[in-house]
Amino acid sequence: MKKIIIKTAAFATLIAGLSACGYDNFNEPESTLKGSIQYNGQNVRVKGTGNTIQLQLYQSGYELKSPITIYVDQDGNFSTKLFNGDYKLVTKDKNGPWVNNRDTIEVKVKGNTSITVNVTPYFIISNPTCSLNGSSGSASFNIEQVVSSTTISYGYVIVGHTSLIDEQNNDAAFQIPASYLHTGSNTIPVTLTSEQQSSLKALYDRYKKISVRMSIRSTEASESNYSEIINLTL
Amino acid sequence: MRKFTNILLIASFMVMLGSCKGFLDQKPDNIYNSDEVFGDEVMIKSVLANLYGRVNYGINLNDSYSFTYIDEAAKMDGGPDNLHTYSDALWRVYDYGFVRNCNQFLQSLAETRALTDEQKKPYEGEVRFLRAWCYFNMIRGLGGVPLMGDEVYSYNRPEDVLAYTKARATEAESYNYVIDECEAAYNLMKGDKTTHSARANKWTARILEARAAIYAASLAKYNNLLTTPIQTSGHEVGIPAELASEYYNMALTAAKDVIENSPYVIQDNDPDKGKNFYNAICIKDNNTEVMWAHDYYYPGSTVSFSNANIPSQYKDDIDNSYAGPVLNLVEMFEPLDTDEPGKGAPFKTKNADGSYVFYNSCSEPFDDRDPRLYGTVLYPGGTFRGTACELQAGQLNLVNGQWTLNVGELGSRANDDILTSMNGPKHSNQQYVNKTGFFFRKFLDESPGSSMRNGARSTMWWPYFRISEAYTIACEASFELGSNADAVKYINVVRKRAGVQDLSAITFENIVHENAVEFAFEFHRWWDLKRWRLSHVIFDGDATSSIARNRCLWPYKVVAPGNEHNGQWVFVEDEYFMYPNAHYFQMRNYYNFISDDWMNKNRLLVRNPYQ
Repeated sequence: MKKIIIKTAAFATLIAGLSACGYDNFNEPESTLKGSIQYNGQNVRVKGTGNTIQLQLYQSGYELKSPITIYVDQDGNFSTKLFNGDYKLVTKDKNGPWVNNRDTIEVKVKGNTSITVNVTPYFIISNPTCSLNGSSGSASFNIEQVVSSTTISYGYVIVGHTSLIDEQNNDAAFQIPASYLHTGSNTIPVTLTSEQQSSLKALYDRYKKISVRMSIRSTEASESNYSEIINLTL
Repeated sequence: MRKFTNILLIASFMVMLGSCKGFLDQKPDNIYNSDEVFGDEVMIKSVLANLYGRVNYGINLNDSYSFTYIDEAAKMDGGPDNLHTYSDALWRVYDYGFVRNCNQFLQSLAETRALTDEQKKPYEGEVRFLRAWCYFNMIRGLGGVPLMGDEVYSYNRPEDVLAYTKARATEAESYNYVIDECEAAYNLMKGDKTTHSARANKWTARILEARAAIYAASLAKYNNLLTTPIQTSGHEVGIPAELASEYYNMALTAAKDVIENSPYVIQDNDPDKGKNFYNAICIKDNNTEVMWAHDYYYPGSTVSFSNANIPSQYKDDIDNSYAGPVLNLVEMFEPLDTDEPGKGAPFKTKNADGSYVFYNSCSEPFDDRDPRLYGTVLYPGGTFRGTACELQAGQLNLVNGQWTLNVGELGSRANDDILTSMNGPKHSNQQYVNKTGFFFRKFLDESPGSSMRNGARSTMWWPYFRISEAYTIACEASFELGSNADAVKYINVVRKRAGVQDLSAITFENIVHENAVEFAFEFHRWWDLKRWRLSHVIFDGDATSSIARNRCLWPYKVVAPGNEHNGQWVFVEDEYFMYPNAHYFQMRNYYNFISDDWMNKNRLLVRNPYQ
């Protein structure tokens, strides 16, 4: 009798122990949601550091409604690991360099999923080129104004030794007043002091690479539109 | 075996029976119910003391790092601070626990018979003032917040929760609530000064009313001057521009009342203007200036500010030199002899041809400035505890006919003179060394033993309101309402006490400047720049900006026997190496974010802009 009780008790404990393992443990999410922020099929380039540009994913049907934050990189791409399910994707309020649009995008995540978030940027900077000869150089680029009602607040020519550069993270940034900028093709002459010249040379010797990028800030936006990254050869 | 089981059974029955006698049901002697507490005036006062102890929001004399977020001061302790952007929750207050405790106090006070109705009035006024102060601290960070009124909510079942949740009031309604509550508190309280200004009186309520009104007014005006004003569709953030003049009038009326009728006067009784300014803010005895402060006393309630920040030369314990003012602040103090009064000026360190500017003493450049600089910043050669503060980064020597800067270890000597002083400044990632070239003076306690780590420490108070704010508010409101003459009259009272030239006319920049130098380290500038929508302009994140980047100024002594400049001083200005990044205040920093946690608990809340 006693033996049976002990055996039964031991067996019950074992079952309880085993079943507990499945109940409160989840596998990690395995589906990937990838996407990009685009205008007319072209990626909209943004500031990529400091968690600046964010998207938010909500999933309804649960008690808590805190969003999952997605960070957008400087080329306008993003990706995140998720569980399969139905999500709602929204931008953050006045977060990016585009016309504020808080429309919800329904996303069905099943396996690897790709989406496109279409926005209307204030400006598009294309064909960036730059050159440097001794102390004098120039940066040229094309500004296309997408939103006709907006005006340019200022622009920047940004120089750095890595590809991750923007208005705040760089080795040197030259602010261009709005009066020097117009839609269409712009050429901005840059004159370096001898100190700047030697420090640029030192950076190039050390990292074998100098990256350049341009940005334009709309008076209505809290972030700038950026060009792609180009390399400066010394 | 069976016998044993029976004994066990009987014993356990006995234990169960015994517990019914109340052996474990003792009444706790450290929990009092409302009737017990509010049946006695002394107990009521101790509840009130608890409320006073909980409202020191934001910068705090026990948190020296909190002084270093903007262009007033910077950390010197240890390695570089990569501070660059601001947190969405910086100085965010959401203290509904405090609001509830105030409401409980008010309810119990109304019910108690221990006090007559006449005796209850000042208590009611005090608590309503404290509740308004708490709301004000929430509103200036978050915009409009849910206004819970006087009701004390109690929980009976889950369905009740929906009844307590309230939507956010508009930003204007929220400021109105604070203003109305201050008005009510003003009428309930007495006007007598309190010991060390630690308790509020009717004038404290009046000056908070003035401050709330000037905040609302400037938000209404300057937010709507932005290209895209910051607002939500329900105006939880964003005060309509047409309300500005009404708020400016309210601010002016309240500030004038304080100036004309309150017992507080601008303290100006020491002929040494710099010392006078320090005494007006930092010395409690016979103070006529401070209207409300968080008071500290020994034993039991002391602050670590002096312990953390005292110069090494004066230290009573191990700690010193945690943080110090930056050049950005120091050069805001205007030169005494200037053609442009009411405006800061850089220090001249180099001539046009690149040669050094020589000064006769290490304090000469600073002695010629607004005496408030002396009262605010301990600069090279400034007197503290009766001796001059040594700040010497190194020597300027003549080597082969070339001026050369030499630096050494702390406390080192060369050429029969000090090379680098024991305080610094020095380029280092060590602790306990000066790095900006300046120390705090405001809030640094001169009394002996004030910088002990344990024991006496400092009993320096933390002033929330000073009478000079009534003048700056009256000045700003008059200016915005178009009366330049009145504005000049008010600002010159403040400037006269400070010991600088009178202004004959006033601009908006003069007001920004006066607030910056008068209230440095007093938790004004952060909010002033926000309400004027200047933060994103000044702290623009541009690494090449001399405003957004912290800068330092280091003194070097000229040691070149035989040279005409021997014994003189030169200064070297530089970007502050401890802060490699510029301050970057983004548009989203104008309002704290509404926490997702709060949104989960209250479905009626709406998010702030940029969130």
